[in-house]
Amino acid sequence: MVASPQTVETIRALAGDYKYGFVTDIESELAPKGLNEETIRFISAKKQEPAWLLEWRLKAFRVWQQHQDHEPTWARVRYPKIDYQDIHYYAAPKSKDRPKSLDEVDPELLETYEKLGIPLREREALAGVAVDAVFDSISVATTFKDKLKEMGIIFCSISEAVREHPELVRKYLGSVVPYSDNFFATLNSAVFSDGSFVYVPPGVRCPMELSTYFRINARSSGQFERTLIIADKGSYVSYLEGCTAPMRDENQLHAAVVELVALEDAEIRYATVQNWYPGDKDGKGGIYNFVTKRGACRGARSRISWTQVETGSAITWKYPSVILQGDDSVGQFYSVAVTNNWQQADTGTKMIHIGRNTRSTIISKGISAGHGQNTYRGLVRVLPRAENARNYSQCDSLLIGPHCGGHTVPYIEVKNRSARVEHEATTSKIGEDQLFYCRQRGLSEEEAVAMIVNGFCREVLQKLPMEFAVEAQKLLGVSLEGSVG
Amino acid sequence: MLNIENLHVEVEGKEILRGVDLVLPAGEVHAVMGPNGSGKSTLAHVLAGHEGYNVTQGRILYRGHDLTAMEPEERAREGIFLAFQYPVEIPGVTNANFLKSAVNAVRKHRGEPELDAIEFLKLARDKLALLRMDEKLLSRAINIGFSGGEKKRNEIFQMAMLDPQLAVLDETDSGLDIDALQVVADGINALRRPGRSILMITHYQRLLNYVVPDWVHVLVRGRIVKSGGKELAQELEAKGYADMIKAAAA
Amino acid sequence: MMNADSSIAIAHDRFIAIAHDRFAEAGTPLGGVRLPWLESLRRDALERFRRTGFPTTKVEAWKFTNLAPLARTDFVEAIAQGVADIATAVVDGYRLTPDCHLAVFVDGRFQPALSDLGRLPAGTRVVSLSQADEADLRLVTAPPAVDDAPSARALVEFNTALMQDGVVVHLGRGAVLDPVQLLFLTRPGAAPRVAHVRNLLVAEAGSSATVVETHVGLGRGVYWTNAVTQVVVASNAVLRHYKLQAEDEAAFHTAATSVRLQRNSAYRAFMLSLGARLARNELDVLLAGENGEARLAGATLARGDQHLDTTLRVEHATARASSDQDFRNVVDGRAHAVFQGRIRVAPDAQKTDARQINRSLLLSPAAVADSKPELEILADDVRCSHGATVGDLDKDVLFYLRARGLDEAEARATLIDAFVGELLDGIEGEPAQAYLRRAFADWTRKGARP
Repeated sequence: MVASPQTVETIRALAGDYKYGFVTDIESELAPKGLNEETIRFISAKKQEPAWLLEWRLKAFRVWQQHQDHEPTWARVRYPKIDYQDIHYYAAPKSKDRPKSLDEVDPELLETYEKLGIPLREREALAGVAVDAVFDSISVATTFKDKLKEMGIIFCSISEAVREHPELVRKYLGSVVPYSDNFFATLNSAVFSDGSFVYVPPGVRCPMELSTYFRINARSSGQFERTLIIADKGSYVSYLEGCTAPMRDENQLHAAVVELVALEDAEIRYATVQNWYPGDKDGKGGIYNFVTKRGACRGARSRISWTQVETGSAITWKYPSVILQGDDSVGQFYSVAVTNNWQQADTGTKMIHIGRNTRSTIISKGISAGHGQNTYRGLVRVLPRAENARNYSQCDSLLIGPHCGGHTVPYIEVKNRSARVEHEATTSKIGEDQLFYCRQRGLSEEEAVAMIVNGFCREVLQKLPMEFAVEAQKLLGVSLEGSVG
Repeated sequence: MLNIENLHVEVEGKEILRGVDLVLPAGEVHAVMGPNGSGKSTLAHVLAGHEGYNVTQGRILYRGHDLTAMEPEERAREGIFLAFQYPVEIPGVTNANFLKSAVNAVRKHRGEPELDAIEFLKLARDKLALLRMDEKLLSRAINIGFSGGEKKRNEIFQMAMLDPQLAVLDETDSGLDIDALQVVADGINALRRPGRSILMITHYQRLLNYVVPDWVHVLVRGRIVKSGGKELAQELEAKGYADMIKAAAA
Repeated sequence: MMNADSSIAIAHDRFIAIAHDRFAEAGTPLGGVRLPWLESLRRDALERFRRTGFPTTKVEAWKFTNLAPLARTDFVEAIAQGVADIATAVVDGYRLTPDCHLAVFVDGRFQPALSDLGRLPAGTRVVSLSQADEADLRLVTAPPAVDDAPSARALVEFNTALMQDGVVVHLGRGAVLDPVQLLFLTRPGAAPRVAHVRNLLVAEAGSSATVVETHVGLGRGVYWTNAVTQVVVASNAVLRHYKLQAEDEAAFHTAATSVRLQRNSAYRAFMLSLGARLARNELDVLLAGENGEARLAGATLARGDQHLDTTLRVEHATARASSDQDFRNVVDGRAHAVFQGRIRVAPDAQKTDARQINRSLLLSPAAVADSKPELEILADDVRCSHGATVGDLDKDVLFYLRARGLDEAEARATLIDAFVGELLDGIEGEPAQAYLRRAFADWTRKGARP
């Protein structure tokens, strides 16, 4: 059975409902369009970086130059060729110096974050969530810094970390995602402008959620933030990331890199609610989200979990991965990806089992509506030394309407017989009988769809911190409102 | 409450109900009995407004209004409840979450204030106590991993929560052992009240031993062929449907 | 990786040179008749092969299977003309049943004297490709049943360019042929040989057949069988196609089977792959008509240094068709088993029912299994699922059996028997089932050798 005409109409009516699509009117400082060594020197100089970092960027740029005609093509996403010379690689809200406290932050910016539902002031005062807000390429405010500092936790922009904690940055930057890793990561290594940095010292349990909100505002600009989180021995940190962008007819590039390092007995939880502008109902505009996220469980018994709710972006290309080096380390990946209208998502994970008794879990829920195309692509690799490695993967696709697609491409490579690897996947649509049942109890078709989809995603949503879970649930409803028949 | 006049219904082009007439006054409990394939489940689904069932002739008056053009959720909000023969499973959605949305949809429709989480929980606990059911029911995903008996009990619980004017119970006794049947029947009896009409659709008479109907209709080949008091059910139990099928075919 | 790729490139040039010599010499006619369309088809195929070269592991479909060892080998063509000097007793050792219809090929060439095709039922025809008429040969022009990148298809192109012989099985309307065996024997020679075998199986409307295909090496040595089989199952026809790949353990075996299923037809395949140093079994099935049914199963038994690859592509092009894949690997020694299975459901192929399961048992510390089950779904009203598991035998079950008095070796053997036996149970037709059971039992026995 296919979607009823009303359904299709509702989906249409929905497009344009992107409520984060406003533009902040603020003066920005832009690097000239185009990418060459000069651009990189410009960015590095703007940020007053040490020589070693400039050198690192330039090395990355040279690698990228060699491969610039070899954008990866293996993902199931289609988009016109990106002109890498037609992008501003640096855009920053104009202000003399980085604000020392929220009082010094441009009121326009604070208002922007209010509108996004991220009241920086309030959070500092009440919510107990430390926020680093990145506007275009620049970190504009980090809250709760002092309180964290008392515990030895460093939470600041990566530019600041380069200045204040060069030994840590130099030791770990590129240690999980090397500058030559892949096309987009290499580009990021050359031009990254800002991002967040976290270091949790040995034995410290970070008492609050750390959170970064990313916002693209400037026209024709790319955003290339770089996040580095290090959890030292026996420490714990939970980190949240949210993303929005204005509605623009052009496609904007977002190529971020996130590196996580968990040492012995440390745990990092990383959650993302990605709601970049997805483009309009005809597929015009929207963010190209090409992101490399990887964590290394370096120490024994370390744990890294990725939870993502991906509802935005015209194209999503990301595979948050875990390298399970330490014995008894654990990697987890929980994902919800929604594609509606003409959105395309190719997302999944890699779990690389190197150490003994390493365990990984993958739960992926893909939902497609309209002309959306949703691909789960994942790798589970068990290397010869990984005695007793365990993996369980469950990938479910839900299809809404006759023009969308849901695809599952798992790669399973096992080189140790004591491993146990299980993968299951199903594809289905929302049952007519389920819809009728809900409607018989008084729910509208739209409410019924939202409820069934939320149920479908429950295992993943449960992994989000409470405050994000509610936001994510609403987001799912908005992204799919009334999309079934 | 319910007045069905000369109702003809087609499913996939095949006529299943061929002129059903039935009057169910407010506050009464009626049973519709009939052999397999007589159109019992079709009657239940068409009352709830399932899209696969086409009304080709006749009409269904519910509290004086014609139901035929109404969407399923409108009927539900107007107070029609269908207890499904095969309750549907919805993974990941808890009963509590589901019922809170449903109850509030109905309340909103009636112009009553919506219940917040605490008020809802109180109401749910009261109803569970009334029906002597376990509170764990609330946190379980809808009908997932439920036994046949649990599913039917859950239907009765939902009925209690939604407080309908007209409840249609489709084969609520099917697949139940004697203990489960007793629990379900007690639940139904607890929910009998003046002003609420109940239409029990069943193949067997055994549920009627526990929930005694005011009136019994016999549906054969898409028509009500006989109506009478509760003793009609016992007569059917003893003699079976054979005579009536023969009479209907003639 | 770089080295392997460049060695493939060099090898590739050499293969092209040989192929050009062949064209120059004889124009590679089939059946002694020069067919202009066929010659141009061959030249085009060679040109495509020249452009893509041997697939490397950079080609997605060949990610897990490296052809470098094959490409590095200097093959001479297995042009064994005339009557092969092989005793009937040797043939009988591999025969399905003493009285089955039988077509025997030695080193890729049809052997009428060793074959037994005198009692074919009415409406059926089994002839060698070199004796096929032009109408039969036309099937070789059929496009691949399922799309893939040209670079993934290179071996099929190479086969088209150089195919010398093979078999045509033709079932007329309503004809029944049950069973016929196609027996391919290869005698390793002093120099490594290659045979490009092309088979055409056509089941017209309402016909029914069981075809058992056997590939065996007679003695130790390097050779390469490159087989392409094109299958058409017309409406209401049923084709059971069972294959035993038992090439010599020094041999290369690459095979691509392409199946097209019309309305209400059924194709049931079983592949038992246990021979060859490097084998690649590709099976593509296109469900082109409503209510078509493809039931595909197979077991791959790998040990020593074997690399055995099974690659399936099932395409649901119409509504209401069903497909089922159940493939299992048993991997011992330093062997490497690969399973790739793709289910693609085209837009509008509503009510598709497609299932796939791949299970691998790793029996030794150095054994490797790669699995890539893949769903590509473009219609919403479908039921599709896949699953894959990799691991050793269940320790609890092993313990249970040992607690009942079996020693560990017996317990393991029992569980492996059950793992494969379950699949063999699904083979229709007693002779074929018994035949493949024997092959499995032989494999088990060989493994038990100290």
